[in-house]
Amino acid sequence: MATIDGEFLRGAGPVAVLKLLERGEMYGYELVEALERRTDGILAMGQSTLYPMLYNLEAKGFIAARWDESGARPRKYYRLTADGRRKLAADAKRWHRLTVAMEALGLTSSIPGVVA
Amino acid sequence: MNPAPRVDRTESLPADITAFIDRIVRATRLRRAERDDVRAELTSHFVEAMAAGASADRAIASFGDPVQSARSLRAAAIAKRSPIDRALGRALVATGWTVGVVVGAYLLFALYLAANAPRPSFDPIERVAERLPVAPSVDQVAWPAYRRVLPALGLTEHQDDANTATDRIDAGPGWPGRRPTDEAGATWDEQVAWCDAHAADLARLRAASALPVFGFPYAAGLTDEDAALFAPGTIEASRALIREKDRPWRAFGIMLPHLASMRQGARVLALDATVAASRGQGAAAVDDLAAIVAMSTQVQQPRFLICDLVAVAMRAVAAQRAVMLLEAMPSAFTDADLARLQAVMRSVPRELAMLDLWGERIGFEDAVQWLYSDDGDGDGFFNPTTANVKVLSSLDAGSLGSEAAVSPVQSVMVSLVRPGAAIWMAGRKDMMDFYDRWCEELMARRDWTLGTLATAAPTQTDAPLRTGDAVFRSRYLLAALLLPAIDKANTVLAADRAQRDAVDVAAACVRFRHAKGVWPTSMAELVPAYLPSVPSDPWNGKAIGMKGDGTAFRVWSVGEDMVDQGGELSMGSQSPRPQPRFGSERAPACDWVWFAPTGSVDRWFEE
Repeated sequence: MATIDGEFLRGAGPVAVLKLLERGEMYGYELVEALERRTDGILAMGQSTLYPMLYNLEAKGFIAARWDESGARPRKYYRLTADGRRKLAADAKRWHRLTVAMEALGLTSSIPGVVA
Repeated sequence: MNPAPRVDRTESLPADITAFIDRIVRATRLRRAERDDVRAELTSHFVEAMAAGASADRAIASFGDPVQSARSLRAAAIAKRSPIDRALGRALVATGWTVGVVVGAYLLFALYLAANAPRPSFDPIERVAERLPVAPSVDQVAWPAYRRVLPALGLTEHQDDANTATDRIDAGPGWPGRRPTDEAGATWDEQVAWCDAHAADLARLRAASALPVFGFPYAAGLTDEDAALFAPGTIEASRALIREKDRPWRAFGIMLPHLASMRQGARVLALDATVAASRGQGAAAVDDLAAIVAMSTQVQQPRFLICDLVAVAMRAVAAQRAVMLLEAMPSAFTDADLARLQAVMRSVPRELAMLDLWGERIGFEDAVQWLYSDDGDGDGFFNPTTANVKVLSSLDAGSLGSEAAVSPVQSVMVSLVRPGAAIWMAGRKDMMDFYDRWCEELMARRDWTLGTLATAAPTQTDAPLRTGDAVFRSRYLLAALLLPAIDKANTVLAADRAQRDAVDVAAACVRFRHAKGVWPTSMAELVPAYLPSVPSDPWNGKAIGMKGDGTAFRVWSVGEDMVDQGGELSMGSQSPRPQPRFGSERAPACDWVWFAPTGSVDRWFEE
């Protein structure tokens, strides 16, 4: 399955990360894997893009991070903040309206990943 | 967030992954704590990837472009910093750039200065030569006669004990009936015998003084014919100065070894005048005094300030000796002798008794041409070579050095400091304008009296130099270094004029007494038969003081304190000196007594 290029991903990537963190905290590699697996590879991004994106979301206060050294391997966990939840809610609405508009134009079908 | 854990699991990662992480972390150029966090995160990422079964190559390949990653991580990490932190960071970067640009510009300027070293454009010795008077014939030139007669009188350049015989005569009492003040000095009888033994040489000295052109070889250098008068080292140094045209600061190096001999010549002539007067030979005494005054004007060819100061000192010897003789031995002089003495004192051209900074300007301009670059339009930067910096510092220390050895370290230091100095110091044109303006202001005061000069404010140009404005002084360093030499010149020359006026008045009074049998009761009585006009007091501008008859007769100026004490000779601890005083921090409360015919010359020998 082809991935989406960086320019296109710039808007979708952060929303996707926020969405993944909505269910609970995750560490970096886990996010990489989840993006690959749950979007069927479409939103799989180079890790060189993911980590700076996480730093940016943290800088904006949408996510928070903590180091966990209790396990066999130290991991840096990210979780959604209150600001992050509000941001995710607003972005989800915008993405919904965009999808509806695209469908109305016949640019998208109901099958994810297939361009009409 | 809690701090990143210490990364101690990289050992479990393959070397190429560790190197990959190091490369990214280094490329972020972040602060230590931020780098530690990035390293820990990336290490955790690759540890997880390896644990998930990825190969090292695949893990690296799927990570993406490390350079782009480092750049993005850096931007994101900086975005995480606080606004103040980011502002400080930006300020630091801006400061770094600014400092870099300034340092770069400074170093470029240093290179420019190194490539534009001063290039002297004129030969100061030749410029001096242009001003030297030219004799119509060789027999009108005095120097050949001086270089024969001065050694004959023992007035050679001092070296070891070569001059002890004449020095001993010079250190004698100089007056009949007095004991030598110096233990090594000759007695009066020995002085008389010396004068008699050297009568022919003294006559030749007087003859040399009468020649119109002095002819000291300023521009040609001393020759073997001068060997009897000067040490071999002096002659060689003089020749080297003329020969080595590329030597810096030659104007200040012009040699004046004759001045000491000429000055001592004036003293032995004053002694001879006293011997003559003590024998009732007033005409011969006037001949000696006239010779001293004539020699003093010869020494002023050309007008270097140091020559002027020596000339003034020589004329002071003549003037003071004249008044002593008039006070103690007036009967030795006929009316014709006295009239001639007056003429001698008036014979010094007015120009020679007033400031002339021509020679000093050559010296200044020469210094400037060695210290400043030239943009071809008369301007340039202060840009001294290392050797010139050394000369400049020796000038500051009060003596002019030359041929300074320069180490490579000193050269580098000067090269690094030079741009700063070039920016700070006044430019070439500015410095020359400052000096010329200053000279004009001093020249405007050249005919001022002692009193006017003493009460005048500093000139507009040199006021900041005198008041110790350190910033101003450092910007005009060269002029500031020369100020002490020029500072008092107008006053010294005003005192010279006043002192000869004093002789003129004293001689007029003696002539009056010879003719009338009594002293004059007012200055007006002396005019016009004995004086062309009533002289004014050089200190307060009013009529000169005169009083009494008999032994109490006095002529006086109010002196440096500008308070009239009635010409009193005995003022307790403030004993008035017969010589003019000036420049005292606190002027003594006494008059400057011009003429006090008491029959005693004690006042001339008081300490």
